[in-house]
Parts: sequence; C-alpha cells; structure tokens
Amino acid sequence: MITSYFQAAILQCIERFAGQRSIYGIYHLLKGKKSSQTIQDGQLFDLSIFFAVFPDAKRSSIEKAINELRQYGYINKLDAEYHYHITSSGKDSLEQFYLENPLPADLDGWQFHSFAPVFWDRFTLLVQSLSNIVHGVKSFYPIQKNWNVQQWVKAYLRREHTERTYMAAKFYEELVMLLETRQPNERDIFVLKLTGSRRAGYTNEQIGRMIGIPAANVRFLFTGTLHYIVKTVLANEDKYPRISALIGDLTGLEEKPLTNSARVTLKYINDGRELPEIAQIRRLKISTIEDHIVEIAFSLKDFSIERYVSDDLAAVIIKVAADLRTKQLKEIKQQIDHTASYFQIRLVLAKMGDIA
Amino acid sequence: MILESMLQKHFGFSSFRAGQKEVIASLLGGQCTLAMLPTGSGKSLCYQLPAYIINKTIVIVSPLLSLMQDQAEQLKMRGEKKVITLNSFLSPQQKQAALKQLGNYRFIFLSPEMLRMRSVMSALKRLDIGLFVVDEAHCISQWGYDFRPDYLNLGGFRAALGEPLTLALTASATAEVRKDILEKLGLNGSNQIITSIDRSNIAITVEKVASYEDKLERVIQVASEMKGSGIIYFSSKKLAESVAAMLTEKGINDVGYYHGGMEQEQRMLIQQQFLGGQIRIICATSAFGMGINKEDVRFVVHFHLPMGMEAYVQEIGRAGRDGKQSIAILIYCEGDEGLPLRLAEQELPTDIQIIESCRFLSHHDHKPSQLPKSLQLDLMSKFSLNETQIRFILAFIKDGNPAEKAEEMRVYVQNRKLIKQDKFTAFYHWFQSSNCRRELLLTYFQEEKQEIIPYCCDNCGFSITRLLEEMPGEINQSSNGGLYFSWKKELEAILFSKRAVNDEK
Repeated sequence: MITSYFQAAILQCIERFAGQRSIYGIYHLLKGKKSSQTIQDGQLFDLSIFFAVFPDAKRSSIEKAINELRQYGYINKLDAEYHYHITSSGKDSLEQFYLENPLPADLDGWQFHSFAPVFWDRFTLLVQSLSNIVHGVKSFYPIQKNWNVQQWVKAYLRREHTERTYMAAKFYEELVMLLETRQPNERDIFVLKLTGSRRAGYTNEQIGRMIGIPAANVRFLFTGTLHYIVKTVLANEDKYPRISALIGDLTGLEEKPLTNSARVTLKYINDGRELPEIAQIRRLKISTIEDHIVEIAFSLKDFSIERYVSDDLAAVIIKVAADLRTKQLKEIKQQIDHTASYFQIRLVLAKMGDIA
Repeated sequence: MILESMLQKHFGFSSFRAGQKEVIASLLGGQCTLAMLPTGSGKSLCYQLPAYIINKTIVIVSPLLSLMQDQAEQLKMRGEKKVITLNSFLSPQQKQAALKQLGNYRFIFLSPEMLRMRSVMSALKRLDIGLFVVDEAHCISQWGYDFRPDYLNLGGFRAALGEPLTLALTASATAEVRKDILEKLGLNGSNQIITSIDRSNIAITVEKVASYEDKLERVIQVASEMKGSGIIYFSSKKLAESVAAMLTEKGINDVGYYHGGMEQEQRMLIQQQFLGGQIRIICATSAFGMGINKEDVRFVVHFHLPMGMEAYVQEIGRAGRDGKQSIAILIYCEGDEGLPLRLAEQELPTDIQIIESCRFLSHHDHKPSQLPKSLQLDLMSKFSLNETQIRFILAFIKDGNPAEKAEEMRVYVQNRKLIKQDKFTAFYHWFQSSNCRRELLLTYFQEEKQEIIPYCCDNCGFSITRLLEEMPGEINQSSNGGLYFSWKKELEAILFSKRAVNDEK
C-alpha cells in the first residue's frame, strides 16, 4: 500500500511519463533541477505541480521507493533500463491513496517553489518577533539564522509603525481567513510549526506523532499550504495586505524562468547571431546551445522557432507525435524517416507543451 | 571596581567568573594573552567587555560558522547593534557593502578563510584594531584534538595586521598545545591565564555494561530517573535517532534528537525547544552543544566513547553551568573502542586515496579550491572518499600543485593519525583505570586536584541515590501541546497576550 505522498508522486510520474522517461527524470523533477529537460518534462506531462516539492530527495530514496512499488506490484519494469510502467493495481492504489489523502489544493511547485521558502522564513521570524513583543519579551533567540531574512524582518518592523498588538491581531485575522478553508491537518501543521514567545515550533516528526501521520507527509502538506497562501495573497492583495507584503518584493524579481546560460544565448539570438556562431562565441558545444533554444522556446510564448524548423516540418512532427501518442524522440524520428533532427523535434514538442 | 560596574552596566552580571577578570585586566594592561577557561564559563565576555573600554574594532576569528553566528546573535540579543559576521553566506554584493563600512562595527566575526581574501585583508588593514581574538585557539596546533589547517596562517595574518593586541581563547589545551598556540601566533612571552578545567559540580562516572541491550536498558533507566534535562551523546546519527524513538516509546515523552544530517530548520527548532524546556532530553551527535548556553543541563551521557580527553571534557562541560550538582555518565561495553578508532581513520584519507586523488587532480586544469561539483563527485566515487576526506584533500592542496603536494600530505596525514590514536589511547587508559577519574583527568591537562569533592567519581565512590536527591529537579517545563488542541487557540496564544485575549472576552 502507498503510505506517503512521496511514493504517490513517484507513481503518478510513472503513470504520466508512460515509460518515456526514466526514474531519474522523476528524481530531477521532484528535486527541482533547473535544467530545460526537467522543466519541460514537468510541463509536457502535466507534472509541474511536483517540481521541487521534494528538494531533499536523493537518488537512493527514489530507488528505494521504486523497489517498494515494484514489490507491491504497482509498477513493471520495461526493457529500457530505469524505465517503468504503472500496472492497473498501481492505478487503483494511487486513486485510493488520493481519496484518503488528497493532494493539497493549489500545490504548484513550478509556480511557487522559489517564493514559498522565503515567505515562510520571513513569516515565521516575524510571527516570533511579534509574539515576543506582545508578550513583553525583549530579547529572544531568532528562529531564522539567515542574515538576509533577519535584515528583512528588521527593516519591515522599522518601516511599519503600526502598534504591535494591533499588527499582531491583523496578522492573526489574515491567517485565520486563509487557513479556515484548509483541511484540518494542514491547519494544525501550519500553526504547530510556528514559533511563539512561549514555545518553539514543533518539528515535522513531532507534528506527525501528534496528528498521526508520517513526518514526510507533514512536510508535503505544509508545502501545499505554503503554495496556497502565496498564491491566494498575491491574487488578493487588498484582502491580505499584510501577508502579501511579505512576498510583494519577490514577485518583481520573477524574471522569465530561464537558466542564466540560456538567457545569455537568448541575448545573442536577439542580436541576430546564428546557432553555430553563438556556440563559437560562447565556447560551448552546439548541443548546449540547442538545449538553450529548446528551453527558450518552451518558456517564452512569443519566441518563434521558424528559423530552426519550417512550419511544414513542424506540422508533420506534431501530427506524428499525436498519432503515436508519444513524446519519445526516437520513435518520432523513425516515423518521419529521419527528416527532422532531434533538436527540431524537441523544439516542436517544446512549443506543443506551450499549447497543452 | 570599575570593571565590575562595567560588567553590571553592559552585561547585567554582578560578579566575574573565575579567570574572566584576570584576562580582562591583562588585556587592558596591553598584554597579549592566552586564556584557557572552561566551556561555558563565559569565555566571550573576555573580549566583549574590553570592547567597551578599548573602544576600537574587535576582530574575532572563529573556526565554526555556527559558533560565530551564535556569538553574534547573543551580542545582538544584548542590544549591541554594531556586530557583523563575515562568512561565505554573504553574497558578493553584501560582502562588498559590508567591507565598505567595516569601520562602523564594534565586533567583526570572521572565519579564517575570509582572511585569505585580499579584499577582506585590505579592509581590515584600514581599521584601528583594538583587539584581535582567536577563538578556539587550540585549532592552530597539530597536537590539538581539533587541528584546522586553515588556522595555521593566523600568525601571518596577525603580523600583516601590525601585530595588534591579541587574545587567544581555548577551553581545553594541554601544556604542549598552549606552547604551540603561542609560537604559531607569534605571542611568545605573553600572559597566560589558565583556570582549572575541573568542574567540581559534575560527578564523573563510567559504567561498564555486559551487552548492548544492557546499555539501552541503562539509558532508559537514566532518562527516567533523572529529573532535570540532559544530553545523551552518540557517535552515530542513526543511533541518536533510534534511541530517541525508543525512549519515546518507553513513555519518556520529552525527548528529541539532533544531528548534522537534519534540515537546518528542524535543527533550529529542536535546539530552541531544548533551551526553552519543551524537551528535556536530547539525543545528539557531537554537532550539538557548541555555542548553546543552557544553564541547567543536569546530566550528560556518553553512549559511545569520545575521541579523546579534550572532546570528553568539552562535552561533559555542558552540564551544570549553573554551578549546581550534575553528573556525567559514560556507558561502556566491551568492544566499544572499535567505533572511535574507525571514525578517526575515516576522517582522513588513506595513502592510496591521497596519491590517486592528487594524480586525478593534476590531470585537470581546475584549481583544487575551485573544482566543480561534478568533478568532486567523480573524484569521490572513483576513490570512495567521503565528504570530510575530499574537503580535507582540496583544502590541503589549496592552490598548490597536486602532484607536488601528495607526499607532503601523506606524511602529514600519517602524523595526524598517530596523534589521534594517542589521544584515544589516553582516553582508553583513563576510563579503564581504577584511580580517581578527576585526578587523572586533571593530570592529563597538567593540573592537580585541589579540593575534596563529595561527589567526585565512581572510583572514589559516592551514593548515586543521594546525588539524585541533591540534584535540583525542577526545570521550567513549558506546556507541551497536549493531544487535543485547537489551531485557532494555538494561534491566539502566539499572537495575543493573555490580557488582550481576556479583554476581548
């Protein structure tokens, strides 16, 4: 039986990947590797909610989970090494697990994986500070050691002159509004993790014991709550003026989701350079620059791939991919008699991911 | 008397602890000073108080990031704002900004590797340094139990800064190590203020058990018998976790565990829970304790053998900082000596690992200090190096030529391994001995036992029942969230003061 969200996520990835990606593709996705391949996998197979939601996943922990799933008979090994297929009992079990343990609503790793931790670090330190202030405690040991977070909270408190008990009450109100619609477990976890003047927050394991679920699930549900909060307060800044102010400065920094290196390549492309030229200037392999272009095509809706793939060829690739119901490059390439390069197929698939 | 009033004004204490005043007076007299004060006796006060009299910049070199942050944090808690820690956490921009206004700080904490940066050194050279503090100074000595190659250059840096007034601080250093510290820092002829490492309020016991099961049994017994809070030290992360789980299973609810493999946030929470009395007992690896100031730790248990006398003294020294009766219990089972020996072996690379790694590195153009992560992983898996070993190899070569450094490293490692073995052997003889443990321990540090201590050690003999009776029991246990709780009430308790809640009703 599946007992953890970690197993469930892996099983779901295997289901969606349908044998087209290896378990290490799953590993990179759950861990949140910022490579174009991983980012695209998330979008293409509609798994991007899981992007980076298990940041401390290890190869070994994935392998262990795979072994368990195999033993349960939920997955079968395919010919290609490290590739698996979900069985019908695997599908049933996954469904059953989600019935009893729904995925937290609004979980979206790809959208929020970078905001959520910063938000939490600031929020928990601010709550600790306010708690100590309203309880008349002058000095305390900060729960966040990160210098940037400390500076941020200090600056916030300096800037906001609101009377502190009033400010604390306002945070309370906003948080209650936010949490009230959540599952009981999620509410408990969030509040128990907070540190106040009279007690430090509880660890995932302690909370797990208190509410009777595994520590790893505590962490996962909590991640979901964070994503929900970030999403909700950003969309309703007037309703949550205080909590949204904790992340407001982050959203401006949200540039196009490109890796740095791809961004440089894009600059050259915009300057009118050709692919081999860029490779030469940057002293990178052509294949690396191709990776960048695929990433760019994928991330930027208005980026045209025309100069790399003709419209006709693109149409053929799209059709073949749809007919074969595959995103495996090798199969597609064979089907169209190698009239397109891997690079071209990837580009078109990247654009398709955009449409999907 | 003036010093006492400064102490009262800045730190709220009415009197100095042993050694503090002597060290401060020596420094204020313009004398470079080597101070050996026991753990938890307020070593940091020795530079913090003079800072307000000297009124110039105080530079503190500290080997451990966490330690450095703790000390900076404690200063800030006391209301001191002019504190900065320079470490690898700062982004280049932050570092640049910090360096630009370095003169505005009263306390500058930095790691030894920061001193290697030219920008940092040139910023420091522009300052009027009133006091140069080397914390954990025993790290400079190869004879010490915690030698750090990074510390070797401190003497050179000190000279480059114009030989400012210097304070070398350590908690445990043998006479040999102290001599080495003075030499390496260029402090020959300085004042030495050595207080006894003896902590007469800690009873020292070694218990021999017949089997591993008996050991677990004994731990359960200790955990339930002792009234106050305690630390149980392990050499293995896994065991720290599983024994904590076992204790919880046995109905001892206020237990947590702590080790370096945990996420930073979880570690922080456990640490604060322990400080605040939410959990009473902590099962930990040696990663726990540095820079943690909890006054009322009543017992320290060693489930595994420490690597030597110095480590042992440091760890038991976390008990009884409030001066009240406490106890150290080492539980030994035959065969236990295998683990520390193995661990000591694994800390450093083998001859073959050194030679092969250096060959590997000399085939690549990268400077070892800037070796990309992927190549590091490659190197690690090729020669089955662990994290500690590869870090050591890269740090040893630094920007040198790997091929040329191999032999030097090999000799050095051999030497270190011998020293470590000697340290453990000394400890082995100590816990196997039937003489007074305190006396032997003091002899190791070239001290003599002075007073007669009622609860001295198991070899001197004492009634443990009587000791338990005399041990202060009550601790400020804060309420542990019961089985039932309401998230709204909990949130109220955090964000509203009781009065405000009552007013509303």
